[in-house]
Amino acid sequence: MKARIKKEKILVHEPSCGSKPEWPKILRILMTDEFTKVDFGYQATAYYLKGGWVKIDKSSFIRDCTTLKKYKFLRVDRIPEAPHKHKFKTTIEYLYFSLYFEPIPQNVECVDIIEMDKKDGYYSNFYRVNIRGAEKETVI
Amino acid sequence: MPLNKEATLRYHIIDECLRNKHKPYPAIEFLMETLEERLGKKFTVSTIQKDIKAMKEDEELEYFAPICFSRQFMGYYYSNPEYSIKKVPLHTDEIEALEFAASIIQQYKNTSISGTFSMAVDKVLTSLKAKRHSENDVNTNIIFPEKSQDFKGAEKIDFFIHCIREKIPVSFVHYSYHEQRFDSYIVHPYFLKEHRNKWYLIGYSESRKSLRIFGLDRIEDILMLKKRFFAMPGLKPLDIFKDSIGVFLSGVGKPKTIKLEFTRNVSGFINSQPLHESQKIIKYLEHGGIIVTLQVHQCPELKQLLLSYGSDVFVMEPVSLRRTIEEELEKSLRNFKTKSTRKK
Repeated sequence: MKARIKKEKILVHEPSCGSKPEWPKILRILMTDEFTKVDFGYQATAYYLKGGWVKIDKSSFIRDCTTLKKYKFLRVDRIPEAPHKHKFKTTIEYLYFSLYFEPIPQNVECVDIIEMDKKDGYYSNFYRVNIRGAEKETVI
Repeated sequence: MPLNKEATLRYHIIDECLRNKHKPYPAIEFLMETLEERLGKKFTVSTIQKDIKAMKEDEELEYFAPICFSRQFMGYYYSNPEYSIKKVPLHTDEIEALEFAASIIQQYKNTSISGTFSMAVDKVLTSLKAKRHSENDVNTNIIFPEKSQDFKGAEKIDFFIHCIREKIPVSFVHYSYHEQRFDSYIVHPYFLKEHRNKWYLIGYSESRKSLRIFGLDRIEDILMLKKRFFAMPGLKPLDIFKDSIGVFLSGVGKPKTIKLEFTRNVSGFINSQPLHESQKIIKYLEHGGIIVTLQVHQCPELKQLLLSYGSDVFVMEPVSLRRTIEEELEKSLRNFKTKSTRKK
């Protein structure tokens, strides 16, 4: 029986992608054998008097732009899963949170990170997140 | 006079021999053999006798060991079988010094260094059965070092100390209060600095290609990276903040001469606790005020410091700094007036 060789953990720094100012910012993507972790930073919006709220839907997924293969949502860190919400108290609040998905191949060139596969403005869907062109590091 | 290290070792070996219940009443020849065996060199009868005398009588050693000679068994023994030089208590001032250090380091109670140190002090004092004041003792709280509130980020100090020592580049997410945004950074960490009970990491940022300061309270999710560490050539940590107040990086440009006039209300404090090591009193005024100069960079911390003196300070030079302070005071006054009116 062949022993499975563990791949190195690859960290992608601030990949470029289509986004809106009011959306969370993709800060890093960590690719490991067990999961793909996407780190987001979010500044409460001045659109709402008290900064509004955030949540994440379990139906979120990552999609390889080339093969269109989907990678399922696994879990979250520091953000509630819908229907629960993180409600801000003021517009100066901020939130750093992470979403975990199934592991994506380390040679993937570009992914879509989809909160809800609908083409309207209510969901933060990041299309064509450029993994290939981003700065990459190996994590100890 | 500092103790001779070898002599101290001899005292401890003699002490062990005197306390060995399997070989009681060691003779001087036995002590000589044991010392030779343990320390790898011969000692004379005279040396051993002097050692025993020192252990019994030397006031600097403070052992005052109850060593007696038994004519019946032709050997030495402790008249108090419980005695050991290892049980000799610390001097009172040494205990106080340890407790003082422990109380100061308590400020950093979230770090493992503080925990380890406090435990070590407790262990020493407990093992020496040092008499400590009880909680109800009125003398217990006689020293009050400035205690910081638990601050977010203190738990990262140990991690960064490890990365700095081992020269490991790191990746982390940082939130800027000023810009109200998140960024991720790859940083080669150099050192940590404390300012007003807050800790900062100073390191080389790859994306900014320069030395940067990061408040530990705003750093999230640190990852160690497998890449070559970059050491900035000619970096001297002590020089970086030499010409600044607070945590402003003074690597670029020369510091400016800041000329300030203080009223008599605060001149005594300014005199006894200079604002910066470059402070010079250039004039004592008739009414008790003083004029001082500082050689520092203009930075937000300087502005905050001057504003904290309110009407007791006047910025004589440079004019740009005076304008900045004036504007801030005017804004403050407007704010107060507006809100006072609103309350009515």
